[in-house]
Amino acid sequence: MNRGASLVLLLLLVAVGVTAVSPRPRESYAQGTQIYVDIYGAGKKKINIAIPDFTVVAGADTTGLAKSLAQVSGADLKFTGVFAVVAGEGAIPANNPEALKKSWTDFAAAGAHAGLHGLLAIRGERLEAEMRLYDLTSTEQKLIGSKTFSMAVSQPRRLAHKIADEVMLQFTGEAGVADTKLAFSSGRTGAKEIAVADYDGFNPATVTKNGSINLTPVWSPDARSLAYTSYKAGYPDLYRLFPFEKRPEQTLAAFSGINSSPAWSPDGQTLALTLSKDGNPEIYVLTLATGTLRRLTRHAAIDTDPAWSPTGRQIAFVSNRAGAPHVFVMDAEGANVRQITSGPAQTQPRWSPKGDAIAYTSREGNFDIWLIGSDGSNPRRLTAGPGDNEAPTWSPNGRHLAFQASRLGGWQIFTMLADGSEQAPITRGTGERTSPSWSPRLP
Amino acid sequence: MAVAFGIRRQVRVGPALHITPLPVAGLTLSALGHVAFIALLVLAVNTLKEHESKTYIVNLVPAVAALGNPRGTTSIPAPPTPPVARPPQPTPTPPAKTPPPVREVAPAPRELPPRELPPRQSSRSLSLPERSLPTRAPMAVASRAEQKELPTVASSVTPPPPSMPSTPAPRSPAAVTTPTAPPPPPPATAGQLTGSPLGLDPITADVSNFPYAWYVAAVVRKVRERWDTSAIPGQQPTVMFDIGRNGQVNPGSVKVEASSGNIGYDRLAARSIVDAAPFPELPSDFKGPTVTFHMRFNFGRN
Repeated sequence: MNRGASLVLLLLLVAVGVTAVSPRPRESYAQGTQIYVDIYGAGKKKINIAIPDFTVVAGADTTGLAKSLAQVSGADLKFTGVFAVVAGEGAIPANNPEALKKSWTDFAAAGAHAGLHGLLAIRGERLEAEMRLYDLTSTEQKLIGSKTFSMAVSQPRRLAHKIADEVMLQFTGEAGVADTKLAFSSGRTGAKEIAVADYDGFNPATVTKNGSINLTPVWSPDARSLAYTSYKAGYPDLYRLFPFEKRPEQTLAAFSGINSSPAWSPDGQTLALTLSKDGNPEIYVLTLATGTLRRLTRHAAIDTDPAWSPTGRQIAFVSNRAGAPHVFVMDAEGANVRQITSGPAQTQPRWSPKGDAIAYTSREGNFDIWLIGSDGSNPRRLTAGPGDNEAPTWSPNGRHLAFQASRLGGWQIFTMLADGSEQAPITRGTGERTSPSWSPRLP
Repeated sequence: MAVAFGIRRQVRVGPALHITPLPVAGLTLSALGHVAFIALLVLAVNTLKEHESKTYIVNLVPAVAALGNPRGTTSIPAPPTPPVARPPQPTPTPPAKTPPPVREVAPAPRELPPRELPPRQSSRSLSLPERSLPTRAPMAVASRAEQKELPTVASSVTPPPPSMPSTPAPRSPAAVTTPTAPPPPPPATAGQLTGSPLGLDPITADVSNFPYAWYVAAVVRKVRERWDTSAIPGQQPTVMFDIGRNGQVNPGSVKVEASSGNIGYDRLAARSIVDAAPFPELPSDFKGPTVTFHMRFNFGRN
């Protein structure tokens, strides 16, 4: 008995000892590299980056790539909301450290915090570019990092996008989204095709040509395929196409009634979707490999428009079970349903890539894009007229949203920063563009 | 099993304590012994630790703090001033190196920066370039720059190094702006600020062994993006956290080091770190496994 008691005491003491000791080494193991910083006020002060024309180090630049690449990378960096671009004229001569230093010193005097020097080699069908990033806030003008990219000569803009994404990575720890695509529905009433364009609206191309109505394209997580709704067989059915491959289209769901609002699970193995085959619209999950269907909602009201959380553990959806349409969240198995939004009417929930927020469309008079914490906290409005703003889609790094806006007349695709600032159209012209989907980063 | 059994038996016997004398002396002895042992352990760890951290203190204010006008005049005078940058520092921090453990170091330097911040700005923009870094790692920097500079250029240029100067010429647009001379293209017209004329904000930083102002600025910038300042003035929690080589923050390392007195603000500050992560990878020529930030949030100030 006594031995038992003292053993307990011993164990207790050891436990206390361990907990008392272990946190201390944790704090001290940092080995002397301690940084004390005071910060004042939130905000988004920009990093001023100097981007002189690229320096051609091999081949003949007959098409002005040295200048245009610098401009495209500059536009990409400006778009991030993190950088402001300090423009310069001309290129820094190759292999001339003095000229480089002089140039950076001048840029620093003009307010640049960082310098991007591109070295371009044009070799037949290939473009090679090395980007070097300098810190202009120190007199040593240290090299922060460098990286080399290679690209087919037919895709110069993509080369510039990759450079911009690398700059973003160096300064924020997360790559940019310049090397991504936007898919959307494009056309006039009665005929809408699926189109794909660069994230900045360049290089648009239609990827369906069936002359019917094709709607709501959604990128798969591997960025290789699009799920979309098409009326080409006379009914709203779900299909999957591969825009970058010569691969036949697949039929995902063609049940009687509505087949709509596809949403890829983060692992790409399953698809949440809305089917009305059992009476009224309900949410199902389709396992792609086996074709098995699992029903998630059972309610006399309409349940539609599912959106996965980035962990794949939860699904947001729209239901009018409380009267007007509102955003609800449930477990991926369909349990634990709770209402997230309230007010007149909310639809089109889209979970942010970091999982902390849900963007949605709210109708209070006009339609506008709103943002709310994924726990239902702090709803805030991101757009405010003129016209309507609908169908938000997140950039893969969660810094931007694309959406459709009617402020120019017909529907066009716009982008904005996730705080609602810097709204700008990326498509223009005749015809309408709707329901954008922002691709993951391209492989 | 035996342990549990022992407890229960003891409990049941409890009331009889007066009659059956438990070996209390033995127990307390053993307890005391263990306590002493653990105290020794803690002491040992502490004393060992004291040798580890050396703290130098450098005050950072970014290069173009006063970039109100596109022609950031403030940062031009940078080169000659570095010596001046030093004097202010010694005064706030009597000894340059303070050995004591992290906990104790933290409060001392943190009280100083805010006080000296305003005067420094008004007197003269103490800008990043003026940080007296050169003394710290001048050779390392130079050699690294060379390393990066030479091999890479060589690789892409090896065959035609002499022809380099001539290559810029054919470029149609640049050729116009710089008619004949390849060497001096940008300098004169160099910078026109097309974007926001804002410089980075004043940051005050005490840095040891980490001469990478751009990195500190990048971290601060990313935290500020995520920091909700809608708060009453005067709240100043300090949050410490470790950034690993890959730029990730171990959520377990995020701790409120000094409370603001209001748990809500403490949490807001700590959450802004977690939300802002990941940060850039640590500079490649910095060799440590982690960097520890002690970030004091000044709510309600600008």
